Amino acid sequence: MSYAIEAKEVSVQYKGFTAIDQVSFQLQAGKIHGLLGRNGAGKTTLLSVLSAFRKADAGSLIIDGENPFENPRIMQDTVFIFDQQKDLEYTYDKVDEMLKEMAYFRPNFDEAYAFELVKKFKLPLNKKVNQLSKGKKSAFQAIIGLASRAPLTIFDEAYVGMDAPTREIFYKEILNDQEVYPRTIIFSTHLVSEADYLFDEVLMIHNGKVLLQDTNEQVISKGFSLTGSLEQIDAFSKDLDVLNSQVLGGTKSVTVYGELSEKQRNAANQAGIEIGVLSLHDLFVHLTKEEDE
Amino acid sequence: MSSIILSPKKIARLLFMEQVKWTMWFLSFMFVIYIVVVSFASGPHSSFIDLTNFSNGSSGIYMLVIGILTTSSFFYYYMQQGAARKNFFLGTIISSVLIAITITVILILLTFILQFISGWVGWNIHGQEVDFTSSFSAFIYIFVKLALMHLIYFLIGWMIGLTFYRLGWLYGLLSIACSIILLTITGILIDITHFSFFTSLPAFIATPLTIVLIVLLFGVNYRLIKDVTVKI
Repeated sequence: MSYAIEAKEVSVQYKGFTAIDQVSFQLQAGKIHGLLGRNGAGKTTLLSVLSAFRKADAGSLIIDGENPFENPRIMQDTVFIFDQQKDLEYTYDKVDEMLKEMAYFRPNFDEAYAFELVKKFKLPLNKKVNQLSKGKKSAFQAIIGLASRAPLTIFDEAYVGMDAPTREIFYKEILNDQEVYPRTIIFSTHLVSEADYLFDEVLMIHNGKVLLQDTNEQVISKGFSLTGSLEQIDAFSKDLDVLNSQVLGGTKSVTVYGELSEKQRNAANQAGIEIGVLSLHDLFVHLTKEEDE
Repeated sequence: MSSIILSPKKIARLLFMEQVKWTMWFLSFMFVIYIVVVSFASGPHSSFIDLTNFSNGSSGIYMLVIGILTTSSFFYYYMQQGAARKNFFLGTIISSVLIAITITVILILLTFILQFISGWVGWNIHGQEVDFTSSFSAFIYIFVKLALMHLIYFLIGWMIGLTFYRLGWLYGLLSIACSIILLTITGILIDITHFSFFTSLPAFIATPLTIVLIVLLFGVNYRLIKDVTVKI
């Protein structure tokens, strides 16, 4: 079971500051959506609205055909995992007790799977949650998020404190379990380069607005780099959407966002211009660059 | 479609189970302190007030405190487990009524037991202002008053906690000022609280006004919780 999401002109304001500015998008059910945005772009605010933790000030939000705010069915089927290091400092229950308790609240919670994950993440079952290390606390939350198998599962930078191998286990589990038990997953992250293979679709937000939304392949296919002599590149790229350029001696390299026609590609090849592919990480960095950076 | 797990009834049961644990701790301490004090203070020539009179005040403050704690310790947790605010609100109301009755029943029961055994151990215990041993109607009258007082104290505490959570410290402090006024009003309506300095009202006026006060507090707390942002 997985839920589709449709947001229309959703806005959230804090005192005199617009955190989310008339945002519209659709998230397909059963997909893993990467939510990318810089610090303060509005990711957590947006996710708070999706999880009904916060009411939007304007616009409409429909999850599985209904408004999620104060909707007991949608709220029960939504798991929102965010950095809770501080809260878990005051959780004095043992890991196994806490996980068993979760089974009580979440209709699809798979206790056996949770304990399987405990082994994979090497969590000590008898330890109290507040005594876990930072990385293990995050792993504990990741387990709750995964084993709940909620139709809408939201991970907001849920990997804080996990080391690289643990994050890798986390990403693999998301992929594996999602394949067997499809659900809508929203994965918000800064670490784009290591998590990009997870995403079916990408939603990039910047300063409270949607920058782009597309399938992962489409997004990546729209970014490329051109390298060649200074004059050639200047002439070739004058009509293109150049995100970034670098000059090294007589050689120039530009990052371009958009699509190249077959004719343009041939022209580039003939002129000896090298066409390179961009990673999602490169695109994210260049697209969200501010004027003064 | 799965049914709703965190229904008002289920939340009430979970909250009540937790609050009863806290209440048992509170009452145990209260009981031990009372036994120590009464064993020193009462003898053949001096008498001491009974447990209900002794703990009247403390038990109200206890209800106020668990009311304040409701938002930080329970609301946040249940929201993370996917509860709706309205269901949490209704669950808290049910559990607070139950806990107000429970604490009153236990206090009065212990008072009766202590009266009963006081003869053997040579204690001289008397009811002071709150007399519920003289007749059955006096018992019912006092029981209802105590239970309502406990409930109102809880609701006032809940209001303070919610105001701090929703509106920050400035309005929070304002809600404390407001609650002192409400406690004074409660003291006038229910003449047995430790805030009852003023002349009390006749029952036929005080009872409906008490109900109005409770409904008003329900309304204020619902307004505060119904669309509150869960802070993360």
